[in-house]
Amino acid sequence: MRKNLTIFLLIPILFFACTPYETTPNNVEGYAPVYSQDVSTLKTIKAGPARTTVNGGKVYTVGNLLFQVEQDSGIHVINYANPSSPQKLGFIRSFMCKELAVKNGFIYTNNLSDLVVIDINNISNVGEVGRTPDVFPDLGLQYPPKSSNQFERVYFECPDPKKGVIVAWKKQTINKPKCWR
Amino acid sequence: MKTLYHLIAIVALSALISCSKEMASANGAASVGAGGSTARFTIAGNYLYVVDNLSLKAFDISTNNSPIYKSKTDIGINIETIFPYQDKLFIGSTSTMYIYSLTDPSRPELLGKAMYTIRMSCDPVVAKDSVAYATLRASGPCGGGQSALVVYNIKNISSPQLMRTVSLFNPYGLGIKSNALYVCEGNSGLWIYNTTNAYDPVFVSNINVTGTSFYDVIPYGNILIAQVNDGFILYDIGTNPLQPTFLSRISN
Repeated sequence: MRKNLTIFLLIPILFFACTPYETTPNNVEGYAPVYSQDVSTLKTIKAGPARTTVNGGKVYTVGNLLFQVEQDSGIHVINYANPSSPQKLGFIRSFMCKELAVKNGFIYTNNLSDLVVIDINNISNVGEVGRTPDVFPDLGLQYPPKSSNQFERVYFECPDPKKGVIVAWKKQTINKPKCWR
Repeated sequence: MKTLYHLIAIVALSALISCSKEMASANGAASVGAGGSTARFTIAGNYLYVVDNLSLKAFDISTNNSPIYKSKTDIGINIETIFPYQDKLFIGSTSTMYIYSLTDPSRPELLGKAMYTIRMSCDPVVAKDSVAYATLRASGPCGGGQSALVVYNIKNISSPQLMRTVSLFNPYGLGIKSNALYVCEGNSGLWIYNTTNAYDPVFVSNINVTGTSFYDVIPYGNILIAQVNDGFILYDIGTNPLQPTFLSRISN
């Protein structure tokens, strides 16, 4: 009985031992992070003139205003007080913007992995009034994009926070990657 | 830049004025915001709720400019959408519809859930009174097989009961206004169902616009905001929700 138990306990160790050989192939297609040291620019929320929508995302409406995420870069503001002739009003920049909701003249959105609050009540001074850091790790760029095949493993070079904020992931060949998802 | 601010100021003012007009009207919709059915951020009462792939986070925003992170609730896997209705949150994953209670808004609590028979699909959920509708898009990266609209009776909230399954082509977002249910069918247009009998939606008509794909809708007061591939189309749904009338198109 004791012998059986020992074998039973050894089985997982055997599997663990095998893992490195299975999971760190040489020179595999993967992603490497592109860093930026200019964190303050990436974390600046700024209003500006209307711009063309390139990759429109999520939408929220309140009053006669329609807000649409520009994927990864900010929020378009559209006025439809006259629904027969809506007008784009401006654009609010927020790097890595993906989602939003609005209440009482405050936009809640993400800036990288932070929750930010943007006050649009005083129109001459649209800007950030609140920030809760790192509450949305998956909305930042901590990880490269997932494979469309959910069972396929995506290899990447492990991020190093000392090098700055990740602003993009580029495809490249990686030797013995230590990170994957 | 200055001109922009002036323009925004004028528009915001007119927005406020028409807003209070709306508030005085019967539906009052304009005083409260609304998002699309495929949103991951939503606001209910004094709380902002956010779903990521696995969990639901609650932020107290009663002080508008300083959100307080109150709780994180593990839900399941592949969570995609969140939709508030009355004191509940409807959360869609690729396999399941979850219903959470907001009795304690700082800590949503699971009331019930329904597992779809079609697995691995993209699934926004909306609800009204005692019915919940979800579209299951089982194509592309979202899985294989037949796409559908599923209709649940949620009178007994702890165990939603599947009432109907309606075959669809390639559905995205959906929305409800009175007895009308709008389903975005991508490049097959905007499909309108009569839900006078809530559990048995009856197809009324579809709006097809050449070269246009419909992705999500926000029925907001008397206006239907349809998100399409190159911008938005606005429809009047105040006169007859079952017959949206074209108002304008906003191009990218």
